[in-house]
Amino acid sequence: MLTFFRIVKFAFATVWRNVWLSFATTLVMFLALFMVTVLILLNVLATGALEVVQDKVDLSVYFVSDATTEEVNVVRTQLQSRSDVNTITYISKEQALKDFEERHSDNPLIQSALDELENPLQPSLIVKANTPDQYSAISEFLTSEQFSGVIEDVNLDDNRQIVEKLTSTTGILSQLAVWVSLLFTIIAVLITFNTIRLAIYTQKDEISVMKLVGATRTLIRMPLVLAAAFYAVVAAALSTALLFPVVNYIGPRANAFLGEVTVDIESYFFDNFWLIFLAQFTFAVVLAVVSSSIAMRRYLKK
Amino acid sequence: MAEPKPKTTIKLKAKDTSPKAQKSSSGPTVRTGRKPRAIPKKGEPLIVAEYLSKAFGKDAFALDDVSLEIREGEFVSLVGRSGAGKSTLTNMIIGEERLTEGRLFVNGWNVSLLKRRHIPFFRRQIGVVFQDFKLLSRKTVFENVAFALVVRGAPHKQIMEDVPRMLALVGLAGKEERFPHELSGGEKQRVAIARAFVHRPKLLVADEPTGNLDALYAWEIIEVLLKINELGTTVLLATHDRDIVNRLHRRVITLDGGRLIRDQEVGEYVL
Ligand SMILES: Nc1ncnc2c1ncn2[C@@H]1O[C@H](COP(=O)(O)OP(=O)(O)OP(=O)(O)O)[C@@H](O)[C@H]1O
Ligand SMILES: [Mg+2]
Repeated sequence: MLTFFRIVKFAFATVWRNVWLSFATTLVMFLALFMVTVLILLNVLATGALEVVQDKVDLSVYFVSDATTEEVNVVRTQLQSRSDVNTITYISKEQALKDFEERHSDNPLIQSALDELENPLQPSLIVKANTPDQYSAISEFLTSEQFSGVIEDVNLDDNRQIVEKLTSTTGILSQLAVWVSLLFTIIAVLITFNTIRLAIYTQKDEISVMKLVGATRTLIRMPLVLAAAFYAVVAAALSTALLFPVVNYIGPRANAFLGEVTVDIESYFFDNFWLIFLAQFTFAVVLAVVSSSIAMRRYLKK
Repeated sequence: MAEPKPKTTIKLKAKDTSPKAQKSSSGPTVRTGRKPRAIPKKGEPLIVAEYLSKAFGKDAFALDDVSLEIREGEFVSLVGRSGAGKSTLTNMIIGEERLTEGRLFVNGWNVSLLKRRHIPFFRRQIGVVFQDFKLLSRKTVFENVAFALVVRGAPHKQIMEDVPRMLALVGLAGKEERFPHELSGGEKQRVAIARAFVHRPKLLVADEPTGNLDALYAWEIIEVLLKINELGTTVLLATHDRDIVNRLHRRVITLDGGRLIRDQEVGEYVL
């Protein structure tokens, strides 16, 4: 216990004696952590948005008004046999009318107009592909010569554009996340390594005297590891703290960018707050311990 | 050298030479040189060296086949020209230098087989003083001495008791709060001695502790070492200061070119 306190004391002496270096190291660790975390959060945001939007994309196939159920079924069977088609929903002429009436039940003008007309709506199929990029092939297939008599219109939902935007964004983001994380991790390791190396250098006398009077390896090395871990903890705390305003800033703006689709990055952040902090903390501590160990192995040989 | 050197060491029996075994088996160690005078009764063997050799490179021997025994309570001077191997031997004894050949026991530890992880615990049982003091410049006198206890995990209470007592012993009472740069060379060395002795080791090894000091200060340091010896601690003093050795009238071991050429019970500096 006593030894533990002394190790902590020596560790703080190390931090304090190289206070500017300590500051710089903490800053770089913080930057590394922060960049990595923000990128991961953006990724979560984009992936979440993508899932939501993907679900909204579909292809509507409108048949001519007098198409028979058999004619519709022929198309349906052919679609079903395609491997890129996921689900098909049939909406009959009557169903379409009912939906339409329901949607406009509060508009008496439309109601009365409908009452006078014979059902003007067409039967349709709503097709969902497995992935967004398959729609154009399906659409092409449906607009081909063989169906021109029965199919009046093939309509791809507008959401497809957003999906494409998101798909490429998530792709870029995850690539960026990997490289930036790697880059910052390497920088942080190098800086921490160098700081501990300099700490060893500035404490050269101390360390040799410690050995001379019988200090154990633990007493010599633990303070250095602990100093590095201290930078890590402060960096993780700083990074987590700064995430609050950043999430507050990104959240609404991201939703504005995505339009009607909403992914609640704020509640994601708060739900996973401890996990995020712990992950940052662990990452930083591992980084600190690894780099200080390398420095000690290299410069504390004997 | 033209003349062959006389073989002056009598080798110990080779069969069982652990310190434990030695106390039962051996009579007084035979030494050559001047005929032993009335030797004050000494204790158990504390340092037992057998055929110690240290080679740097192929044929460069810093120590060559040195055997000796130092018993508890002795005050031994280790003399020799520069490069004779004094530091090599003292460094071996404190576990700082590996030996190339031979066996070395210090305070019951087989230093020749000492594992690195055991060195701290071995160090705690001895005290070491060097020519360059090796004080911590940012720490006060008190803190420098306390450091030896802190590193050993001594409780605060013990530190507050032992450090002032030790500073009084070496004559530095009242200078606790000074920093090393506010001290004379002799005072610095006394701080170093206090640090080496604060945990009451059985053995104090001093490698040229007076090397950086004027003659007057030098003798004061030797007096501190004598005081420590009176308290029961064995002192091994490596020096090339003729006046000090001749004034001490204690045992003198002489090295030359890495060989032990003389071991006198009450010796003089002869080279
Ligand atoms: N690391 C080393 N590499 C090569 N040779 C060494 C090394 N250390 C010591 N020596 C040699 O070993 C011999 C003994 O050196 P040592 O330091 O023991 O002498 P010394 O008696 O303490 O001398 P001094 O009085 O100058 O301190 C010298 O010839 C020295 O050059
Ligand atoms: Mg020397």
